[in-house]
Amino acid sequence: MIDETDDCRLVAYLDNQLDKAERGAVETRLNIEPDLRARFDRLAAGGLPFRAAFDVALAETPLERIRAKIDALAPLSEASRSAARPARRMSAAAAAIGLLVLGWGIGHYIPVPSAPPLVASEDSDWRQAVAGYVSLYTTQTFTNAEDTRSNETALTQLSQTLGVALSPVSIALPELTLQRVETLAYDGAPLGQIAYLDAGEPIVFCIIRNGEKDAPLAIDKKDELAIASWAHDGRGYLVAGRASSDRVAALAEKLKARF
Amino acid sequence: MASRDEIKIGLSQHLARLWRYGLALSSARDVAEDLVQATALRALERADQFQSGTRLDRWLFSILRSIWLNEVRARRIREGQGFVDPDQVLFSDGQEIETNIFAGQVLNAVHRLPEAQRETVLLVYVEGLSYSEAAEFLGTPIGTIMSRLAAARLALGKLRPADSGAASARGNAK
Repeated sequence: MIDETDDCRLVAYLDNQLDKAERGAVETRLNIEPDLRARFDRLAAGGLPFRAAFDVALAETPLERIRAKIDALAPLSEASRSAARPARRMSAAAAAIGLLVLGWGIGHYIPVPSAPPLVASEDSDWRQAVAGYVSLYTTQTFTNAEDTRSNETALTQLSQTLGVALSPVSIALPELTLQRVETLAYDGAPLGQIAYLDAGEPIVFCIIRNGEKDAPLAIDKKDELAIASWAHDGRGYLVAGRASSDRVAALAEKLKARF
Repeated sequence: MASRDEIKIGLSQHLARLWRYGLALSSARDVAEDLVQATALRALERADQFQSGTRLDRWLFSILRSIWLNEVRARRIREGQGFVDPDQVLFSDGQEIETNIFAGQVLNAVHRLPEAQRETVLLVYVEGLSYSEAAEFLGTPIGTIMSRLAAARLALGKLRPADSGAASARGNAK
């Protein structure tokens, strides 16, 4: 006879919430009680891919509308607008660490719709900050990179946050393998980063929604790092990596044509 | 203690999860949106009650839950809007959804569960709370968490794609 206590114990077993002794006791009973085994199978069958399904719902959040309503009802104070831009006065390294910490602190299945841009940035600080931490990347940086599905979920989120159509196809680059998709923030503006490996060398593609003015593709070289950047439709774009300027420029051209 | 602007900036990182929680509770997109908005305003009013160093997302979730239980749900039931057709809830037919047929089926099936079960499913299986965290958040014994999850699993067990096949299951979900 199966009672509610059995159900609870079986669910706790399935959810891995029992200690070793309790697990052993459940397994022993499952081996000798066919009724309990049948109940176990029914409970196990009800363990659907909830998280993946609800992540699809997450992508449907009407974020822009919700943000606009909240902004209209409760704008940030002027003091905070300037306080939200500390990086301008920080060294590139300090800003880079801030970005990294934020990036790592974010679970990959959790969407991170960052605050909308507070002020249009006219300078290149975010590019310097990105260059600062990308120069620290190695081949091993992405050893624990997310699986494909997590990256796809992250891309869907990022598309919403940045208002650009990011998909595995639109960000694919020949010869490069996708490693990790992250949502960061710079100066209150959402910053998406897509990291690849190019024959073992990290290459990043970043998009920031900061309202900056349109700018043509420009190439910069900082130590070993080549940085290609441009801006279009209120978004700044950047491709960077320890590769030749020509290589980085060619990758940037490909992406520029798509966004 | 946190400032209003700190809450505002932190809040913006949790809007989508709050909306999803509101959707799990209310089974209605527009209600979820209103819940997030009301939660944001309430959180900003009460910014001084938030303890820095504790989890902002949990605090926001608890505000949303309290607004739902004490204000929105009570009003909807009073006005005779307590019931929502779960098939209308999340996914209508559309190209975007075609790629996520099974996700749509899972969501719609979860939304047919009683509210307490679908809330517990969301908190434990989606948000990743442990049984004890969920019990504390909901103010219930751990046994209640387990029995809700067991009941939800028994109700949902029929939805496995292996049992039904995508096409027929989709038809049944109609």
